[in-house]
Amino acid sequence: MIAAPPAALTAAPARIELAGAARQVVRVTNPGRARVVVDASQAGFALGLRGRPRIVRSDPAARLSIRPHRFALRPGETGAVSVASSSVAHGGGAAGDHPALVLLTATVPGANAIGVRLRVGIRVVVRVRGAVVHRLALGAVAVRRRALDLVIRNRGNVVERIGAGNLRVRLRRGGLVVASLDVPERELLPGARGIVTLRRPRVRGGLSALVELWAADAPAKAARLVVRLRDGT
Amino acid sequence: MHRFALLAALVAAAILLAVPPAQGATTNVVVSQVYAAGGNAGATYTNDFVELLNRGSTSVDVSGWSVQYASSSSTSWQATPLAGALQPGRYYLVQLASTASVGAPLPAPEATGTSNLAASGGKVALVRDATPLACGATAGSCAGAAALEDLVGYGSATDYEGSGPAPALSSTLAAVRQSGGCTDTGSNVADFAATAPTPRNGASPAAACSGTTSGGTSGSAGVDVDVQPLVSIALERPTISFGQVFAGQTPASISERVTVVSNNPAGYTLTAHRSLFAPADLPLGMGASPTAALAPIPVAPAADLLLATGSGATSPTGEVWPAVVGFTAPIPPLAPGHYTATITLTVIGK
Repeated sequence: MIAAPPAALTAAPARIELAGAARQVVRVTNPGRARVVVDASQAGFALGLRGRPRIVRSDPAARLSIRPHRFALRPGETGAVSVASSSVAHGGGAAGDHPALVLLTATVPGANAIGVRLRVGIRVVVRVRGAVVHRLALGAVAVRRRALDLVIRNRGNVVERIGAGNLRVRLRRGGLVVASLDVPERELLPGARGIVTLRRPRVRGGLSALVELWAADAPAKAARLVVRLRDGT
Repeated sequence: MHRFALLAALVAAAILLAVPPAQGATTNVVVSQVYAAGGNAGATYTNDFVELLNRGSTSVDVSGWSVQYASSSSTSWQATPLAGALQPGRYYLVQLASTASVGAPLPAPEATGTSNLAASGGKVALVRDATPLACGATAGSCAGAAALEDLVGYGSATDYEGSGPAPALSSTLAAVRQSGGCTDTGSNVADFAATAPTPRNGASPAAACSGTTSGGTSGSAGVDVDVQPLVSIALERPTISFGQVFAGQTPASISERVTVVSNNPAGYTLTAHRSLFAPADLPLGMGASPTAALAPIPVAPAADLLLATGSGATSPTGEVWPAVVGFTAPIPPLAPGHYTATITLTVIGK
C-alpha cells in the first residue's frame, strides 16, 4: 500500500467550458495526510508563444463567480467549488471564447517555517454567445537545422486547436511530394499567436516545403506558403 | 409459363442477393435533430445546429466526415467537417451560424461551422467525406450519392428520404427525430416531428435504441463512463526549515520531491514563485533535481520559475520531480531573527 503524501491537492475537471451564463462544479480532494485550507480565486490565462501556460490579468469578459472562496479539507475529504460565468449573465463581453483560470491554492496551516503551498490551475473557457469566427493566419517561417518554426495567429474569436486537421506541411522536390511532416498539436487562444515547431529531415540538394493552413469550417480556403530548404552537402 | 415464372423469380432473387443493403457502407449514425432559426427573432437558441446520434452498438469514427447543408432547391452544398468518434447511443452536436445574440447558447458543441440554415426549408446531409454533394434538385436525387450516410429534407426541400420532407421549422421548433433519435424508417416525413429544440452533445445521457442491440435469447447492456480531466500535485513536505544558519554560510539544499498526476494528453507545467522573506528578503532558489543548478525563485507578481513540463498524460501514480530548495548565495549579514516566506508550486494543464 502506498502511503499518502504529507500534502496534496487534486481537482477535476481540470478544464471546463461555460457556454453563456453557465455553471459547473469542480471537485477538490485532499489525498494527503495533513488538513489543508483551500483558497479559490480567479486569474487570467494565456499561452506563451510555444504553448506554455501563463497566469495573466483577468479578462473582464470572463468574470467568474466562484463559491466558496475558502474552505478546509481534512485528509481524504472532497469539497465542491462552483464556477459560474457571471459577466455573461450580465450581458458583458464580445462574442466568442474568453479564457480564464480558477486557482485552487492549498495551505497547510500552523507552520512556523518556510511554507510550501500547492496550487492547481483549472482552465476555464467562457463562450459568449454570438457569431463564431474561425480565422487562422500564417506568419513568419523560420528554417532551423532540424525543424521548421511556423508562426500562426488566431484571428478568430474561438480557441483553435492546431494539428493535422488544419495544418499540413509537405516536402516537395520537382513537384513531387517526398515527405509529410508530423504536426504536433497545440492550442491557440483567440487573438493570440504561437509557434508550431515541426521536426524535419536533413535535406540534400534542396527541397521546398509547402505549408497549408486552414480554418476548421473552410478547408477549401487554405493559406499556402512555400519555403525553400537547403542544408548543404 | 410456369418455367418462365420460376426463372424470373430466380433471377429476381439473384438480383436482390447481389444488391448491397442500403448502400453497403452506411453505419447507424443519423441526423437526429435540425434547428434552423439560431439568433432569429424569438429564437430559442443563438445558433443553428445539427445533432447526430449513433443508433448502433459499435463506436463510429466520424473524422473526415462532414455535415452538409443546401437550401431547399439548391444543389450547392456547404460542408462542415467533423472529427472524433461517436460511441453507441451518443449524440454529437454541430453548432452552425448565428444571426444575432438572441436565444440561449448551445451546450458545448463537438464541431462548429458557419452554414446558415433557412427555417422554411432546406436539406441537411451527413456525408462520409468532406466533398460537397452536387445533388438535391429533385426527390431521390441524392439517394445515389456513394458517401451519403443520412439525408434530412425539411419544409420546402426538393429532396428528402422517403415519401416527403420533415415539417418546416421556426424560431421555436426543430425537426426532431422521434424516440430520442432512434426512429429511422427511411422516411423524413414519418421519422421527424416539429417540436421544441433540445440540443444534445457528447456529454448528454446516452440514447438506448432498442433495435440496435442483439436479438435472440442473449441480452446486452451498454456501459459508458466519461473520464474527466484531472490534475493533482503532492509534496514531500509542506514546510521547509533550514534550522540555525549564519551570515556568510550557504545552507545545504533540502529535498522537496513534487509528484504531479495529470491525464491531460497535452501535458502540464509545474512552476514556482514565492513571497518575500520577512522581515528582510533572502536569496531562495529551487532546482528540478539535486544535480540541477538552483535558480532564484521569483517573487510574485513576477512570472513563475518553470520547474518542469510534462508533454503528455502521466502514469496513474504520477511523475515525480526530485526538486530541491536552497539558497543561491550565502546568507547576507542581516539582523538576527526568524525569517519566513512562502513558496507556491503551481501545476496547470497545457
